[in-house]
Amino acid sequence: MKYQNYDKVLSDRQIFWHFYKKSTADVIGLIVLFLILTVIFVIPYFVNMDPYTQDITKRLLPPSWVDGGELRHFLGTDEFGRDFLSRLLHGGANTISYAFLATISAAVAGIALGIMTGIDRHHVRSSLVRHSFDIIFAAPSILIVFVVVSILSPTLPHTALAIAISLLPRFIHTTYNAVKHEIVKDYIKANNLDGSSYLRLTMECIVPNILSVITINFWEAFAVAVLDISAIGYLGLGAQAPEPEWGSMLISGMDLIYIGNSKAIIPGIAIGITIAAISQVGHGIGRVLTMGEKKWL
Amino acid sequence: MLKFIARRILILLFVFFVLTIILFWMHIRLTEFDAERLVRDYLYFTGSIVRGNFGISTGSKLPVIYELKMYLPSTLELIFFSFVLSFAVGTVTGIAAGLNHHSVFLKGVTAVLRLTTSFPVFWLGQMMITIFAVELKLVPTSGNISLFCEVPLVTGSIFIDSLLTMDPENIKSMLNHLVLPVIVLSFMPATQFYLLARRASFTISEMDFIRMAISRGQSQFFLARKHIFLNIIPSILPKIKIILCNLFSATILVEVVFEWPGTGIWISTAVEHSDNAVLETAIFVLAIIFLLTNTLIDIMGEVFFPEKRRINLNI
Amino acid sequence: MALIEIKNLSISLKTPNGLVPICKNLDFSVNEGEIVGLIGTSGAGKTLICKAIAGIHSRDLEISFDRYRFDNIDITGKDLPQRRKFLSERVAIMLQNGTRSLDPLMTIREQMTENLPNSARPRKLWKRFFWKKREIDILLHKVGFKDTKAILNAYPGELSDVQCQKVNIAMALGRKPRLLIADDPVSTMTALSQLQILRLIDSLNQNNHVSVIYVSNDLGQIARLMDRINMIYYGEIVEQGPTEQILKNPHHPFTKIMLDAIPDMGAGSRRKSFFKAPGGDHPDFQHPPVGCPLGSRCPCADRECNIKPPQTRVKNGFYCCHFPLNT
Repeated sequence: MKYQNYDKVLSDRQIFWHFYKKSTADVIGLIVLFLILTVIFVIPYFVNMDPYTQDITKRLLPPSWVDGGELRHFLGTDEFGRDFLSRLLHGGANTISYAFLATISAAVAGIALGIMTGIDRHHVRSSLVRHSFDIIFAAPSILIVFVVVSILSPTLPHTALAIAISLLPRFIHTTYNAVKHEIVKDYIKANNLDGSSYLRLTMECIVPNILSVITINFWEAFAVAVLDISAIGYLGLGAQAPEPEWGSMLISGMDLIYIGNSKAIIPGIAIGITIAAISQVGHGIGRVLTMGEKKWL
Repeated sequence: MLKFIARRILILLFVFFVLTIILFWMHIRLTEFDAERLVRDYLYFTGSIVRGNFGISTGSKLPVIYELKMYLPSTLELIFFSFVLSFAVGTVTGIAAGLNHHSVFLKGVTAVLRLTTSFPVFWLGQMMITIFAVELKLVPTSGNISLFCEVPLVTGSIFIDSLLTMDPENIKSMLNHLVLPVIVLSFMPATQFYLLARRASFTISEMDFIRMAISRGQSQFFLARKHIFLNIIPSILPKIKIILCNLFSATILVEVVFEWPGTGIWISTAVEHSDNAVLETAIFVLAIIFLLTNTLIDIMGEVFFPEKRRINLNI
Repeated sequence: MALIEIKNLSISLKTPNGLVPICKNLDFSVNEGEIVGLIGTSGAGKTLICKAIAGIHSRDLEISFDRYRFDNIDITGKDLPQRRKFLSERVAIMLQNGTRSLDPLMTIREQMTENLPNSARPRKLWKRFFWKKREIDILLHKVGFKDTKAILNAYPGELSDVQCQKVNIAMALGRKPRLLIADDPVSTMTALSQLQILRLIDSLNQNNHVSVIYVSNDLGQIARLMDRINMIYYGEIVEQGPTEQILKNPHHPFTKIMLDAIPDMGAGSRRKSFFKAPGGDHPDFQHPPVGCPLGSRCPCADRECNIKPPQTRVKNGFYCCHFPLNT
């Protein structure tokens, strides 16, 4: 009786968007995220941006709208004479893409492990596997990065690996809990009695129902990954000079604060806005996907 | 309950064992690798670590354990103060926000808080230094005590040491230096506690026993104090472990920003100069501290809030 | 003598799609010393009405009424906190699940001590020492506990449902209310335990002159307890009248349906009834139907039932139906 007034059936994607756009904050977050990704990844293909050329004669130029700035260097130059805007964009590309890489690898491995330990009937074995990852869970991410970076050399891909390792346990834990919740439901038992194999059970019954948990987790982890990558860059253990990266740009600009230069603040603001947009989108997706459950907001 | 504690301790020992293996593997990667004497090397390594013999730091030529006693308590005091501050402020405001859940003002405040905690803590620290230390000159810019103050090294924690000297100049300077790092560190955990407490107290305030208490005419303040606060804690406890973890990561960054002499700077310089002994020791000690804290939190949760006395919220 | 009189009570739910009306223009009254029943299917709004009367509804609900008189004192003009304070001294409420109505982290002793109103403090000085302890013991004895020490030291999670409900009644007794609102307190228990609680409520009514609003899902043994019965369907009172009249001579088809649903333990043969149990549930509150809410589920429905809502007729109570029975 409820839908008898509708003359067409909406697809899943349309329903999702219909509920997503009810919150303006989430839509703003999505627009900002989209803008950031476009600017960072699409524009350098069309405009020639060079973050590496040093020109000592043009050090520390202010942005072009201030006295003394040049139009060619839109946001000015850093202390070595490199164009700041292109450094910002390339650095953003580095930060975001390595953070995404880390999150995806942690997600794939963590979800697989979580499902395997969740389905496993042998209680002690799954408990053992989970608790051996507990040590990564207990240790702060920075510590794990220290371990990895001291064994391998400090470069950006190694940092991404370390962050993937530190994100792994959270995926394992939440996937395990979600699978445990699903497995005790009666339709799984019915399917099992009908004779489906474990693989089929997983693929057709469990995975579609824990997809919401996985997605929400992924966005939270992505925000954390961006924060961690820039934090490691800040400590000097990530991208090495002259590779641009938002965190390392921030710390090389730290001395500039005392002379009131804007170069020191801008990478930090960029990091903050990106993380805020990612968290807001993640929050909105979480709100829409858990809409049927007991509402609390 | 004893069974639970025994099980947790067993898991702790198992994880400790895995930790020693990881450390040994790290040690081998950094120094030499001798296939024949592997097991003997492992036992010797583990034995010396457990006994506290961590080796000599190649940077300062001192035994690592002396450096540990200098640097670790400083970090621990920062973590302690910011945890206490963020817990107090976060849970109280969170409970109040949960009870007044339908207020539009609070919804806006929550959105703004989520936005501001997206900014990285090291950037925030720099901004705070610029505003409060450089422009307004209210607090000093770096360090944990003024260079003019003489504080002998007793415990390594500047708070306890300067209190032990009983010199008001020292204490004033120490408090001055402590304020800004602790406040910067507390932003993120306070927001996390606020969000958790808000969600939990809203869920609890719809429950039957709170409705009964309201029908008896209790005021909101009384409800919050007596009924809601203690009932929230079992749901928050698992998240405290994660919050502490993030707090420690943030502490390392904040120590670098504020030039606070703690484990952050210690480990960073050790990584840059490939000081292996320091690195292994630091990782070992910090991992042990975190494992112990996690186990302690789990055990305390089970002792004070056993199953039949807790409300299981689905946060 | 009317204890409570509410005229034109409307309850609406605030949803993201707007205000959804649940109860419209309800008139409700309870006389002194009376046990009034609110019977209906689940989801019809009985609990909401109870919470609205007691003032402890959640903030999602919009409540409005034309007149609310309690014991001849008009409290229509008061806003929610004042109303709650006024009602807290005079109204006691019992919710559905006994164990969940008690704080799980406090012992029963602490909760009952907190529950005693300050107005019960004895005047004479020598009676004031340890008055709370003695009062609690007296209350627990009244509800039938022999070993009060074990009960007092226990936590709510350790007691059974029946014991918790008895503790709730003891706490309600301690506040000396004028009105007790019992929101389906016994449906989670077996018949013997139900009898204990019902006897306690009955003795409250007879000995302490407490009026009771009793909400229930079925008519069963509870009907013998009540003096007057309101049948609620889809948020409206569809029939109201004295118990004997409703049980013997129902006017509204919904009442007949509920009566027929009572299992007949004594009858040997199958009961053939003209009214077979209708399927389905009451319509969704977001899409109210035109005409009578019982609509096509009613066995004696006709075209007129789907076109315009029924009128209220008064005869020994009132009922609203286009085609009432037994007139």
